[in-house]
Amino acid sequence: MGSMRRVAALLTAVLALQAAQSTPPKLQVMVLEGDRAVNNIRQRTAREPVVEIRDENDRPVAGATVTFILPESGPSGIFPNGSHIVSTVSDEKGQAAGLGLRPNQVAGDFQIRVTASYQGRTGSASITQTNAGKPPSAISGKLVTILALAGGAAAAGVLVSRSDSASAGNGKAGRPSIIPGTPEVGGPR
Amino acid sequence: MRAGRAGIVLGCLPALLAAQQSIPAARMECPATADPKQQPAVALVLASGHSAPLSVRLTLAFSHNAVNPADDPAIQFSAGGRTASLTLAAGGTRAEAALQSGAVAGTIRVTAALEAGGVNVTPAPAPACAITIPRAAPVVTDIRIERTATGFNLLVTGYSSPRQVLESRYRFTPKPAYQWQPIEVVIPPETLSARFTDWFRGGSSAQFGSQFTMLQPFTSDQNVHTLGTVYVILRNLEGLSKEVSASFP
Repeated sequence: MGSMRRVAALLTAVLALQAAQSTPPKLQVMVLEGDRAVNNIRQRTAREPVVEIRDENDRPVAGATVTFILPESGPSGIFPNGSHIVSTVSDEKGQAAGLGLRPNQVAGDFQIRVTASYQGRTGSASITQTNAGKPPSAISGKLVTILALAGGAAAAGVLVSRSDSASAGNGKAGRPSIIPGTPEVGGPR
Repeated sequence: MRAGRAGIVLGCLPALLAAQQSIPAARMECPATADPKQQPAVALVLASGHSAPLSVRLTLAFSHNAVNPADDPAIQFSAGGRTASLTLAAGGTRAEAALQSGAVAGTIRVTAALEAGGVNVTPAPAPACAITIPRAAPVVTDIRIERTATGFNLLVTGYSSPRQVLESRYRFTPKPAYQWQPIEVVIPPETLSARFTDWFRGGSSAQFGSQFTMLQPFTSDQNVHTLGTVYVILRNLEGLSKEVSASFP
């Protein structure tokens, strides 16, 4: 019985080793900013999530595809493309940000799921944020107008910087910004 | 009256005699597995020829093995329908038919019934065989690009035999006149899987087996004209599809 157990243990170890060798190393997704942040519903401001992607040797990974995913209902937010998802590419420091995040009007905690992929390797992380405060409907009409004007300018600034960032992640002329929307599935066309 | 009855009996005699002759050992032959959208052949094979012609009726039945269950109406004999009638000439030993394997994972079971002179001579148990349509990675059959006011849509058509798609991956490269690093976009399971589950569990998807068209919208900017080619990969639990590309006009 003892020898059988030893053989079984050895077999298990060999299989585990084989599995480890056949699985590509995972990417590390380190959360730099935005975790445990409290977003202001009234002002429609949120802390933009920033992550850093590192390889198995703890070196920054530039060029990784990083996707930020918000819940589709309940406490959540929205990106400037009007979607709950935004994809971007990590810069030379391995960093990527979910720019232009704004909270929705539902108070409570929510998770931002972050996935990263690069040359067949993947990694993921979760960022917890909280939406707090009352919706802006309680604000006077005059103040709404002022906030809208200010917010519009800020949004425009965000969009421009997003475009610069996404169009290249690196400033090369001609690279387009590509922001995915929500997919639909139906019968073959 | 007696003469009449005797006539009827005499008239049926050849058929009765043919039926009473023992049928040679019979078996069904078919491939153990077939990929989706193939036309595997099935055959009734006799160990030796029979003295009279035999009518062979093949019937197929399908039991799915998909994540999101459904029958696939595309699974049928090549001539149409789920039964096929063949004739095996006297002395013949093989009668063949082809069927369409459809696009849903599962098992197709084909059973034969035999008649000689209008009399059922099917051995017991009836000859039968089974073809497994395996769960496989998705297959992309077509990609179309539609320009929109804010960017473009990708229409990705394909099938996934488990009736499941988890993730889509896109890689964009520039036209030859432009130089920028490829852009990769991943729509992860958190977003995509539920869309496909809704489709495959909805009643209107049943008529298409595991086939689908996915519309993926993209918003872009003034540099959208520099896009040259998009490469698309889909993933389900069985693995990744082959990469398929389409060129921007």
